[in-house]
Order: sequence, then C-alpha cells, then structure tokens
Amino acid sequence: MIGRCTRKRSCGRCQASDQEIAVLSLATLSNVLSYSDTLLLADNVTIESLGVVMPKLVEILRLSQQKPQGLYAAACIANASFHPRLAAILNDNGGNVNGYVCVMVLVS
Amino acid sequence: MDEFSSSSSFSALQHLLKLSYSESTEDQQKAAVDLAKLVDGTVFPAVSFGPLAHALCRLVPSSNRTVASYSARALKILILDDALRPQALVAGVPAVVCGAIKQWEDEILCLRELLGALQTLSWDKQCVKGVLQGDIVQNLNDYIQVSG
Repeated sequence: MIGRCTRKRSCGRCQASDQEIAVLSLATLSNVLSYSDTLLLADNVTIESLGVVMPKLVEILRLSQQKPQGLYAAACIANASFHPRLAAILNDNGGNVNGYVCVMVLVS
Repeated sequence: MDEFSSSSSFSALQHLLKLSYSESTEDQQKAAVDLAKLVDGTVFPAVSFGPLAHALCRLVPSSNRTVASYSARALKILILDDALRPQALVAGVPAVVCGAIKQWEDEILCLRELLGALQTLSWDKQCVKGVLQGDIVQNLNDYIQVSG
C-alpha cells in the first residue's frame, strides 16, 4: 500500500523521482515527435505547441549530453528535424539539425 | 506469466470488477491494488480486456491517490500488450490518462505511473492521435528539466 506521502514535485527530496518524470516526459515527446513527418505534418496546432519545447530540448542536450535526459533530448531533436517548421525553430535556437540526425542513428 | 484461463483467476477478476464499481473508497482501493497485482502476473486475452479497461478508466480519475496510482499502474502494465492497445483506444484510455496527468501533476507516485502509460500510448500510431487530442504537450514541457 502506498503511504501518506505528501511530497510535491518541487520538493528537493523528490529529485530522483523528478528525474524519472523528466525522462518519461522526454521519451513521450520523442515518441510523439517520431510522427512529425507523417501524422503531424499538417497539424499546425500541435506543431506550434511542440515548437515551444524546442529551445528547451537544445539546452538539455547542451548541458546533459551524457545523461539519459541528453540522449532522449537528442532523439526528440532528431525526430523533430523531419518537420520543416520544427527544424527552422531548432536552427534559430542553435540546434545543428544535421548533427542531431547522426546522433539519432547512434541512439537507435 | 500465467495465461488467464483458470476459473479462480476469472472469479477473482469478477470480484475486483464488482468492487471497482462500488461507491466505497475502501472497496475501490482494494480493487485498484489487487488489479495491479493481478495484471502483473497474468496475460489477458483481448476478449477479457473490455470490462477491465472500463473499470480502470473509472478508477484512474478517482480523487483518492492510492486508487489513482494503483489503477494507473495496472493500466500501464496492460497496454504494454500490443493486442490490447486498440481496445484501450476504443475505451478512451488516452483521454483518461491525459486528464489524470493534469489532475495529479503534483503527486510523484501517480504521475510516474501515468507518464509510463502515456509513453506506451504515444508509441502506438493509432493511440498517439488520442494522446495529442488530450492537449498534453504543455504539461510534458513543464516536467522536463534543464540542468547540468
């Protein structure tokens, strides 16, 4: 039975669990972005909401290259680069799209 | 894993489904905890999944944290089976999971189970449409962290 823990995400004691949640969120985003050149190609509303995440992904990859977060961020960026709008946002925010496509091959 | 065939498993499932539709939080807790244990060690044929999915879709949005987290765990384990995800989509699982993530965004235990389920749903081409309709990208953006 789960105890009466009332810890919140912002609590410092939950750092390990927070990381797990961050990794799960990045993995989910990576899965969603794998449809960027098919299901999402003409879905402008979803693409715009995903576009907001792109600068954060570039920053995570820059700061956490050897951590799971960095690898999943690389997978997200590689998948996003197949959509012209997301690729443009990535390039505007310092993401070298061609480089990350190579990373995706290594990760998969 | 055991095949879901013995009469004892079937009657146990029937009992838990009955408890899950109870108005009593205590019954719902027992149903959620025992369903999470049951699905962990049992392979369910697709024909048995419908009632189970509907029961879990009723339990996951519960306002009780134990009910929500254990039923989300059961759902997470069940939808790992490729054969069950089409029915999960029909039962409205993506919408239920997305709604519960927004409801439990400050509770680590629930969020971890729900995000695990969401990750599996987003992997499936049919289910990902339901996930996107749940308008969940903003929440995922909030959960990812930029740290060195």
